[in-house]
Amino acid sequence: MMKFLTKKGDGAKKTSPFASKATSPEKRKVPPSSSLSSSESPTKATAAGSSPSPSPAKKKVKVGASPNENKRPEQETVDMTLDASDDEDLLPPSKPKPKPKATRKSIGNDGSDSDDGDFQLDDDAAQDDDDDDFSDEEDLLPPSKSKSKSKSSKSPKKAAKKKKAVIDDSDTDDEVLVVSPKKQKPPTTVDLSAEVSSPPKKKATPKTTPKKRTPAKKSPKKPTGPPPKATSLEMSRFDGSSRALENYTFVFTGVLGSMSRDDAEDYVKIHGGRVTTGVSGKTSYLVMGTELEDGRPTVEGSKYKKAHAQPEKTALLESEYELFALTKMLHEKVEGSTPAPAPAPAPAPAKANPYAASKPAVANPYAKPAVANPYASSKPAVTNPYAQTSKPAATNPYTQTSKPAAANPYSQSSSSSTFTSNSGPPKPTGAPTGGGRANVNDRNALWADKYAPSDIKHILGNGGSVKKLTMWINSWEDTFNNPNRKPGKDSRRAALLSGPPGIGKTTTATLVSEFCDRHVLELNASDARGKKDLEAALGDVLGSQVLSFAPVAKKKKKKRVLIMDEVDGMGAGDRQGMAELIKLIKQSKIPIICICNDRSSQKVRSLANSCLDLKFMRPTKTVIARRAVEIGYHENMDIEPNAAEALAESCGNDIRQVMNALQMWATKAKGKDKAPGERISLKYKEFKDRSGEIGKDEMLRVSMFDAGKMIMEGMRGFSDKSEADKRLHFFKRNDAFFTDYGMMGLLVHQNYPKVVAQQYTNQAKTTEEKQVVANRLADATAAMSDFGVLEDMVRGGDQHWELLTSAAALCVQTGSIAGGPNGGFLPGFPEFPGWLGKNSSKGKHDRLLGELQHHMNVCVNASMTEIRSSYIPAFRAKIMKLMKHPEGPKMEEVISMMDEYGLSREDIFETMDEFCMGKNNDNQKFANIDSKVKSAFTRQYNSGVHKSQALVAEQGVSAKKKKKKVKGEAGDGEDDEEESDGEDEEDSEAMLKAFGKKKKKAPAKKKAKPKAKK
Amino acid sequence: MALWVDKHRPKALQALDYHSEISERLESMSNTSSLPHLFFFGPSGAGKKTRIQALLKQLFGPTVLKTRLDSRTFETPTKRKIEINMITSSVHIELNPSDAGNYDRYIVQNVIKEIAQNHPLIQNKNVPFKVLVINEVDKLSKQAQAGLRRTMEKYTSVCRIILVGCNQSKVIDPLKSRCLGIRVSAPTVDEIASVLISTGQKENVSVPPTLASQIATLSGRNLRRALLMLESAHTQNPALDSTVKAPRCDWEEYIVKLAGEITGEQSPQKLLQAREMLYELLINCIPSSVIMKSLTIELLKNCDDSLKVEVVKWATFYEGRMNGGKEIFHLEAFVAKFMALYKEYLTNLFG
Repeated sequence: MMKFLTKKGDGAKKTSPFASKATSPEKRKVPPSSSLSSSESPTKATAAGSSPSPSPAKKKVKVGASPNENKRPEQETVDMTLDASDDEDLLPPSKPKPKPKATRKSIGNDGSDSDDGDFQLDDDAAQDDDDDDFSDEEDLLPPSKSKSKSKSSKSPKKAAKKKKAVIDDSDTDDEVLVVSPKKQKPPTTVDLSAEVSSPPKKKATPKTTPKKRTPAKKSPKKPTGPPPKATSLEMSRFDGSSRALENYTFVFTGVLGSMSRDDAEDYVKIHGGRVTTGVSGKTSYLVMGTELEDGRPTVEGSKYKKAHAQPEKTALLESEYELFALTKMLHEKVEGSTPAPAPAPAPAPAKANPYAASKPAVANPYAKPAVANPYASSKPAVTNPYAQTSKPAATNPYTQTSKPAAANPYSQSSSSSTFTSNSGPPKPTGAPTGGGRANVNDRNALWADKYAPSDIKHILGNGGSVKKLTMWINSWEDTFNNPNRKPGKDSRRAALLSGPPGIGKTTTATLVSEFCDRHVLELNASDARGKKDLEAALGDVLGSQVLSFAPVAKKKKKKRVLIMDEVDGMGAGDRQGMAELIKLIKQSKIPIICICNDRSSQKVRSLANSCLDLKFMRPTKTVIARRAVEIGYHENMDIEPNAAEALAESCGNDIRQVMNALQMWATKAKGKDKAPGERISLKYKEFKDRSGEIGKDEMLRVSMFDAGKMIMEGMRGFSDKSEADKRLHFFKRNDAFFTDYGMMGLLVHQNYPKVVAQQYTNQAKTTEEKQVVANRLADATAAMSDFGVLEDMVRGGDQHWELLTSAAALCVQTGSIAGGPNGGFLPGFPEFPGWLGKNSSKGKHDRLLGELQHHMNVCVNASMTEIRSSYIPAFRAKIMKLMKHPEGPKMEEVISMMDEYGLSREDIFETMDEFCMGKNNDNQKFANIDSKVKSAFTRQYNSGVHKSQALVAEQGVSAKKKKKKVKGEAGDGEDDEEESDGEDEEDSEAMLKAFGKKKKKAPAKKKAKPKAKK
Repeated sequence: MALWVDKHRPKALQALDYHSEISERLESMSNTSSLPHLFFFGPSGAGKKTRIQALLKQLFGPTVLKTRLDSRTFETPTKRKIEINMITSSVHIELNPSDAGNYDRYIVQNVIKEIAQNHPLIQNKNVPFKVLVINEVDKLSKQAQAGLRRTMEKYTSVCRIILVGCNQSKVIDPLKSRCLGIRVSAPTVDEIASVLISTGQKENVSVPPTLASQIATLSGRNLRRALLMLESAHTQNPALDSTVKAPRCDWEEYIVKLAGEITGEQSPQKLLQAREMLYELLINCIPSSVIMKSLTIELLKNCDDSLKVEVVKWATFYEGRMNGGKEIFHLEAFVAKFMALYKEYLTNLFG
């Protein structure tokens, strides 16, 4: 493309370097300047080579675009661009049309100084982007939201207008950048216009358009079909320093031909782009794979449809090659327009200009994307999503960080985000409030301490819980220490904070207590917390106040609060500690805050009943990433947002660990010979390369279901990978097995046929292919059977646990075979192992059959198997016949037969019904006998005396070995039985009742269990 | 009113209908005072227990028939309480340690040893020992079987052990070497048919020979089942004539249905469906080996000779693995293997 520019218009060539020169000094001169959303603003800070199309150009374009568009020839466009770039240094480009989101955001940020937004939740922000990360971010960042909310609520019309304007703008841009239909006369435009007007055709057109235009000028790498080698070439071309994709949001759909989804996402992130999972209004590109995971064409996917419906916002990239080409192009722009050492990453917009100019003339492979013009929409103020610029002058903090923080744009932006209360220059937030905390001014202090929140407003996430806790403590006195009223039933004397480690539970508890002006007494796992210790340590404390020896002015009696940290760690050593704690809570005169990790642990469950239950969630990675970037700023580090997010992700959203990792990174970088004061950078690529050193073991955080999915689906394009990769992937899957080695085999067993089924239905077309899949299914089940053998050895009598590793490998083998050489796809969420439920009902039936056999042993010498397979069907037939006898039920015969075999009424009517196969056999079930007949039978049966009653009783109270008489001694037995008759009947009745209950409950439980697990 | 099968069960060695050579041997054994340990094996429904019962009666007289149900509770080293049921008379004890599942070896080590040590209650000069009948010995774990070895040698003076099992290959060699093995093979179809007809005569029912042999075939040469089937047929249709069809058990019909599903379509979806059906069978306490056997027999009906060899090979392969708790894995593996083989076979057949 650049080539083309040189040829066609020499001006264009000059332009870009010029423009970049112009912009960069400017940037330095006017650091605080920036995202003025109005057109008067001076260069946007992001201008770092990426400034949006300059306003003059814009104007011109608009002029050209308006009524007489059609007349404007291609060349004109180029010229205009030239003008634009020429003017750039004089008249900094305005940012007239921020991307829709950006607009909203900056608006929202305008007044975000206010602190009170912290707890507010904003629904508006999320309205048009559901699962987009971005929206998360907004959700979590209350100030901006509250703003946008207020704004939008105040002037909905205005907002609408703005939106409209944005759209209009993008249209114009379309025209500028891409020879867009309206403007151009040449035959090529026809196609494009068709594209615009009738989106469905899009797919077909792109391939033809470039050819039609200027085939000679085609860039050598045609995105649609470069040889696979090109991939590596393209990829190797860009090192991590390229920020070509910054400000664009990408969504992937379908299976990419040459690389895995993960690799592709990495690729985008390395180049500064954002990757989200769902298509929203903010999505700039949708990268389409060759087909969906389940084998349908990509165009059937919902992502495609959604993106297709908003061509003005989202452009489509047919394959990853187009993505590479796009990156390459944007990258060249950056290179071309930015002087070599330009440290600041260059957001795309500025480059959009030359691109725009060149576009019409070049046989541009990106013509298609341009239709839905991504550059246009992103052009002006496609603000960095992280830009929390609240004030008009605030720069995007992330793009600016490389500059000396003269009028520190960063602090301004931060004031709007999380450090709501500090509007001054940046300073470590950890004010020395927490008495026991490390000295935060110490240069060697842990960052986790140094930057621990010092105010409840600084706590990341969990706003609702923090607020509830505050309210609870504040109202405590009134609720419990008020002589005039009794505490209500629902009021709790203690609170229980639960959640994973490292998300600020203890910090919250301490801060909230201080906020409520209470003295904190903390007991944690390092203290002995047995029953006696608690009594001794707390018995007096719980009703008392703190004596303060501070100066008189402050000498106010402070109430206390007791924080019981790590209550789930009260182990065997803390005898009776939990019971004592519960007791203490019931009488306490001060609030008690208990903290635990595992809310569902048996120990904590009893405690939870007497506590206000507050669950803490992990803050989202975007929130953590933002805080990490801020802190990095204070610590002289440049952290790429993508890197920060990846770091947060790899640490499992554990803030403390993120801090530790960052500090380690900083120390490491310092160790190298770096000039003092030189900033340390953390880039996504570097991070990815070294994340092994930092991340928590990722398998620890993978849920059982995800791990199972990993085992079964494998890696896409596995067969093309290098040996080393394959081995690594095996280890990964092997590790996945150990997320829950007891369950994983069952989970895989439950689900792997579905992976094969998916391929069988969707991918295998011919008979041969189907045969191959069928053979694979047989191999996979064979591997599962091998696994079963080993599993039996591991869990069977000899406990050969040393074989567990082999069992793991076999389980992976099953998954690997099921997934096939190129990776499989498991539709939907993995099912919970059905074996467990089936096995338990099998156990129940075994028990029932055992009882039956025991009863029948009186005269039958058959094994359980024989009883089940031969006797029961015969019995059923016989009794059924008798009960339904045409001359009326022959009850005497039935009863005499039952007595003969020692069977009770329940054995016949309840137990035997359990052993009836098939769904159409209802008429064979005793339960379906006419109820009148049944009750008549019951009466008659109960009027007599039966051996079986005694047998039932014997089993019911089996502790006493009652002796049961058999055939030969029937006469003797009669007496005994009569004695205990009444009692026995009661027993059997009770048993029957209990049993009936169990039966009813059983199915419900089975259903509930898997759900709960999920 | 008992079922025919129990009502007409022979009580004496002389009354047994077939395997007369075994009856003779047992009778001669019972006349000496040195009875060895015995191991009765053979398929179910062949008459093992009946012979043991008759032998015991021959040895001890009618006291053997005065039995009662007894149960014993003991605690395993892991503090788990296990209850074991047994049938006892004054001269013999019959029990089934495999009921205890994984804990069977504790039963062998505790209960059986204790019983074996004690002298018989009634001193009988002719028969100075009591008899311990251990059922389903082939289902005992290897450890439990090993636990029997020493016990069998040590207490021979007061106790004789009779092992009963279907499958002698699942009993460890050391045990087999300590016993006199007696194989009670399944009666032939003709033998069963004649028993059916004679039983019919006792009940004043005339059984047509065609029906008798049909039932005998369907029962899989299991006399117990054959008799029960005969009675079921009689209950359904008291006038037994040659038009009466032998009724099949619910689970057998289910397996036929399953086999039909498998031969009807071979695909992963079918495998999932077959899995559900297999689960259903297992839940209904049909032992996996029975399922495997019946299923294989049903499936073979649709195969030609070359395929039959393969199918049986894989059936035995997976049947041999089904010792542990997860029989479904192996059943499924067999079904999947069959599907692959059968699919290929069909393709070759029809192109």
